[in-house]
Amino acid sequence: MTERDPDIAVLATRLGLRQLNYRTFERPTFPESVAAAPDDPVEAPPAAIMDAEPEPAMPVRPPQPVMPPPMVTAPMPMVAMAPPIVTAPMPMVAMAPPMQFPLLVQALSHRAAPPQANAPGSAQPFLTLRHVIAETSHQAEY
Amino acid sequence: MPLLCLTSPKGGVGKTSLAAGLAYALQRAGRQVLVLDCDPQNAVRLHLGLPIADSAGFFVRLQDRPDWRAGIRQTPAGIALLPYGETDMRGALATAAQLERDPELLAAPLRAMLADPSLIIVADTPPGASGALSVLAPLAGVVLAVLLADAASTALIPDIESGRFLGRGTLGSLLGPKLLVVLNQVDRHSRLSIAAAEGVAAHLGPRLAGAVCRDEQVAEALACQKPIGLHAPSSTAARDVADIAATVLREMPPPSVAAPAPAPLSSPLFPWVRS
Repeated sequence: MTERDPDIAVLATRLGLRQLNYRTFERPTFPESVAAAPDDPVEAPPAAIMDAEPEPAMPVRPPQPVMPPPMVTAPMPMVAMAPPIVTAPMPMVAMAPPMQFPLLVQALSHRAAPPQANAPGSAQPFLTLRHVIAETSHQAEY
Repeated sequence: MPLLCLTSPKGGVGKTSLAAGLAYALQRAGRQVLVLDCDPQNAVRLHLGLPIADSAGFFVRLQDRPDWRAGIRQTPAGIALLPYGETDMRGALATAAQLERDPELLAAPLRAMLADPSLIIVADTPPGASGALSVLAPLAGVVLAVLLADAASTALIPDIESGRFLGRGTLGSLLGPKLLVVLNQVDRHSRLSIAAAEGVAAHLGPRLAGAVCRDEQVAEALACQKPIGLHAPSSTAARDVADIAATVLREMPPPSVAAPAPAPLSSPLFPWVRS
C-alpha cells in the first residue's frame, strides 16, 4: 500500500490530507503539482474524474462550497519532501520517570501485593450473582 | 449550606482535579475548607500531596460510624481532607449498599460538619448516580456538574437541564436551582471544543458557572501532587479555577446563624408524626 495507490489517493483527497507522512506509505518521489498532472490518471483527484464524465442531468455542476481542510494535520512544509529520516527503533530500556513528577515516581516504584487466590470470593467474584441467576432460572422452570 | 458537591453524569471529565483546584482556590479566598472524598477511586489524596501508599480513609469505614474529626488529614497542600480510603470492588460495592440502606451513615456526620458555618465542605462524588450524591445533593448549597466541551458531554445537557440527573419530580425541582455546570478542558485550538463551549454557554446562560481551558499544567499538577493553583498559580487554568471558586462563593447561600432543627409538627393528616 502506497500513497500512489488510487484508493489512498482518493481517500487523501477526500480527507484534505496532503503529503501523507504515514510510515506505511512510501516516500513521495515527486511534488504534488506533478502528481496532479492530467497525464497521470492514477494520481488525479476524483473530482477531476467526475468532471471528465459529467452526468447528463447535471451538465453544469454547482459550485461546491470551499471547505477548510480538517484540522487533523497542518499543511506540511516543503522541507517535508525530503527523504524521511529513518530512525532506529527505540531501545527497550527502563527509564525512570523524571523526579519533578513525584507521583509518577511513587506509582511506578510502588509494588502492590497481587490478589490472593484464597481470599474469600476472589476466586469466583461473581459466585453470588451466578447463584442468584441459577435460582431464578430454576424457579422460572416451574 | 456551605457544601459544594462536585459531580458529573460521566467519568473522565477532570472532576477530581477540579475539586482539588477549587478547594485550594476557596482556601486562598480566605475560607476554611474540608474536602470529603466520596469516590472509591480515592484520588483526591493524590492531588493534595498524600503518599500513594496512604490507605487510611473515612468512607471505607462508614459502616463503623467513625469519628469524622479523627479522620481528618492535613495534607501537604494545606487543605484538610477526609479521604475515601483504600478499597477494592467488593468493598466499594458493600459501602454503596450500606449507604443505600442507611443514608444516615453519611448524612449524620455531614450535618455535624455543616454545623460550622465558617467551614466549606468540598465533596467529590463518583461519576454518575451514586448513593453519596443522593445524600449530599439535598444538603448542598451548590451542586457543580463537570462536563467536557465535546459532543458526549453536550448530549448530557438535557439530562442536567431537566433535572433527571438529580432525580425526577420534587427532588429534581428542589435540587435544580442548585445545579451549576462547569466546562472543563476547553481547547481553543479545537473547532469542536469551541463550538460545544459556545453552544453550552448560550444554552445554559447563568447556570454555567465557568470554564477551564485545556492546560498541560493541570496534568502536571497531579504528577506533582499539587492543586493547580499551587502548582502553577499564574497558569490560565489556575485563573479559570479561581474564577469558578468566586462564582461558587457568590452562589453559595450565606452562612446562617446555627439554629436548632425545627421540631416536627403534629398533624392530623400524618398522625405518626409526633411533636
